[in-house]
Amino acid sequence: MKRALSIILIMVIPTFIFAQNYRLSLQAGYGTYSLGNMRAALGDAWNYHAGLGIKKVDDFPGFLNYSATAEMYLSSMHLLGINYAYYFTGGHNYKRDYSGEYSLKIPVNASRIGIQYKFIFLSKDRLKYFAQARGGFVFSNMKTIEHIAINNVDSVSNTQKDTSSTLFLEPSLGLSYNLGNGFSLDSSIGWQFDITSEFLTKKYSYMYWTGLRLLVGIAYEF
Amino acid sequence: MRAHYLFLILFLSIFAASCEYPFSNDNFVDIEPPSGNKIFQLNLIPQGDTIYVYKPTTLKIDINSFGLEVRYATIEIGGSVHKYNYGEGSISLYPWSYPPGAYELKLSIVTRSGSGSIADYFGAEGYMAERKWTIVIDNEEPKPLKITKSITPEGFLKLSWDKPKHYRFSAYQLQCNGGYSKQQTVTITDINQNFYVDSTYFGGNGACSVVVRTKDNDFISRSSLSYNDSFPDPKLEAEGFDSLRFHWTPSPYKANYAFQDNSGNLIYKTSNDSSFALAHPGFGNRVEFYFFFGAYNNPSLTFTNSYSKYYSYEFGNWLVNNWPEFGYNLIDKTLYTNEYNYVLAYDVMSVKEINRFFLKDLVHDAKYACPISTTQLAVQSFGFISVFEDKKLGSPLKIPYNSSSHYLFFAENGKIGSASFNKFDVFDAYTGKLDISIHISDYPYYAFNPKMYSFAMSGDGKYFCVAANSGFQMYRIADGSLIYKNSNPYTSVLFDIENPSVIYLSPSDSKFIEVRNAEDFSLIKKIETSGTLNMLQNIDPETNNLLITDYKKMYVYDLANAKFVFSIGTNSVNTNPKLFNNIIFGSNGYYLQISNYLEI
Repeated sequence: MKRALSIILIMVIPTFIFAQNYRLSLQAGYGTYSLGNMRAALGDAWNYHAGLGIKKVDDFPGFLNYSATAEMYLSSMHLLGINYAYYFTGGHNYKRDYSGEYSLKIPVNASRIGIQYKFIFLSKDRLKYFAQARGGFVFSNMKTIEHIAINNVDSVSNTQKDTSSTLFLEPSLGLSYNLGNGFSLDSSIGWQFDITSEFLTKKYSYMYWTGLRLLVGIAYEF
Repeated sequence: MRAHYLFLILFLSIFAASCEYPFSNDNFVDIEPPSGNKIFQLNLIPQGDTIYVYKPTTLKIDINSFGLEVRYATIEIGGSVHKYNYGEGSISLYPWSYPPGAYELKLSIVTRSGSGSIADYFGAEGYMAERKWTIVIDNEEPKPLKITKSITPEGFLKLSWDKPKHYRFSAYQLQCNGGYSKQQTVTITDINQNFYVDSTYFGGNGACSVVVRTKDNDFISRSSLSYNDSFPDPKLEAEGFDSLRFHWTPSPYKANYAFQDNSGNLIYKTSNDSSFALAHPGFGNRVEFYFFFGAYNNPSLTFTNSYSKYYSYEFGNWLVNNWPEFGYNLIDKTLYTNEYNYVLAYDVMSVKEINRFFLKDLVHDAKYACPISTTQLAVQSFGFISVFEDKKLGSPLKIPYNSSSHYLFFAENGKIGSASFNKFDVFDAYTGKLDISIHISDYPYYAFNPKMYSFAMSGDGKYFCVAANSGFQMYRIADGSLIYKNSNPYTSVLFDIENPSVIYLSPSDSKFIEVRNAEDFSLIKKIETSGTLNMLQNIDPETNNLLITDYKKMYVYDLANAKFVFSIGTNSVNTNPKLFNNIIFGSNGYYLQISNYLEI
């Protein structure tokens, strides 16, 4: 999935580079993720080994995410573009003592790709205030890595993989500060809503990344 | 410059796509490892170091893990692990599922350590405990034992049987019955001792049953063997006239052989010999014995604990009862005697009765006398002397004679002489008249003792003599005169049949018999004997053999050839034997044909 997104970006980005009134931006930020099903799965695993005394040391917390956007000005106030975002977090049941170690790691990540519309509703000096809406698909990956090690005896690991896809919609508000020379500093706050995409993709949707999105980044217009 | 930004944006995008979440590892639990050893209690019920499974058996498993969770338990029998559901707490064993044998049963348990560690949770830490039992499984069908009988080199009965292969063997239980031995109940607990030596058996009907008992108080096999070995059968045979000998084929069993007389006196006992000799009882002397055959270890043989057999022996043939007297007629070849008050006439060749005649009171005082040259017979009974013409025993001439007679003689001149107290009466056999009654001045009143007196009348009827311990007297019958007398002690006297002027005298305490002239008492010759008591009984008119007895032995002397030709033992009961036609007729009622034994 990562490799596919990289190829798409490589193919799409040059189109914008050599156009006029285009805008490219990279953001990084913090997001919260609902991932209720994943938490439930981690909880089930915890319950399964309730007698073991393990602890959920990671329960799919909010974490960093990255985003890249290519936009073009439809007018001085309206921009239309495409957006790619990458999320990752994980759940971890864990215990270690003198005799060994138990670990159940569930790393999850998602590549979100979609289109976006930005409306600059206020420009004052170097600042521009905008509202933004994004929508598209979220392609999620997960692994289940269970590892049991008994000291001086044996160890065993088991890894399972799965994927999920959803539709998303993210409204947000932001501002952009012009740094000059085509560069600007962007920030935004939004909320991502994930809904099932099963009616489109025919694939089961169970990883929902719904949550807060705080992003800051740098943009370049040309 | 613009291109550099584009490459930077591209690199950051790819980098961002490869990021993963950094997981935490902050849950170390510091707990103490469990101790190295722990004690558990593993039991099987019913308890015991050895478990016997002879029928479907359920063993209850009793485990005390002292609070630790038993993760699993196994039961291993003979190297084969049997799944065991610990929750059921028991295991059922079916003996037919295993070849009979002894196996090792191992109960193993694995528990958690109880430490709560990861290794404990995943079963990599805990305690293993095991306990072993010997389990004997046997369900083999009973097979009959084959019992065989043999005799040990020592001579005792040995019963052997197959050694069973059953593992549940407990004991051999024997019940043995010998013919004369007590029932024996024997228990043998050593399976390898599959034999039994019965030293009490020595023959007869016997039986032994062997029961193989099992540890569960059942029995596997029951077999029995009956046997009936014969007892020795001693033969009693005479060895000449000197001894008797018992001889027998020895029993294969070591045993005691004993002989008793009819008074219960032990006369011989052995465990090794197969014969023994004892003194010949002699003529007409019945002897009785009991043979006992019993166990070697039994010192006292009785009718109840031993095989016994009765033996009797008598030399001679039985003729009549009641201490008979005998007479013999040479012409008729007839022997006369009596049975109670009947005069009996026997053919002397066949010794078969040919006639009989009733005479009142005959049994009290019977005497018989026959002349040599006629068929007549004189019979003395109480009150009469009866004269018969011949062996037909027709109506006799009865001569009253109211006296007990000690001697009766029928002379060739038709005169009958009878000695009674102090007198010797002579009757005419044809008229019955008394011719003369001679007073005997020194009559032997003690004449009832046959050892001490003897009367004799000459065949021609001329002389009569008395020989006794008090002396000798010779009378002439014609005039009743005493023609010779001396006071030498004598025991007996006889007139020679062929020559009536010759007498045979036996002095008391002398080894010689004197042959003297009856008329002048001159000594003609002496006959040497082997003893000092010689009772002259009679001279056989058929053979001219002289019968002598000393009440221990009887001797036959051949007068013609002047030698002893026969001797045989006798006893004092046989007081007055007679010899007729070489047949000895004893006072004990027996007779013995000696012709074949004469040393001619």
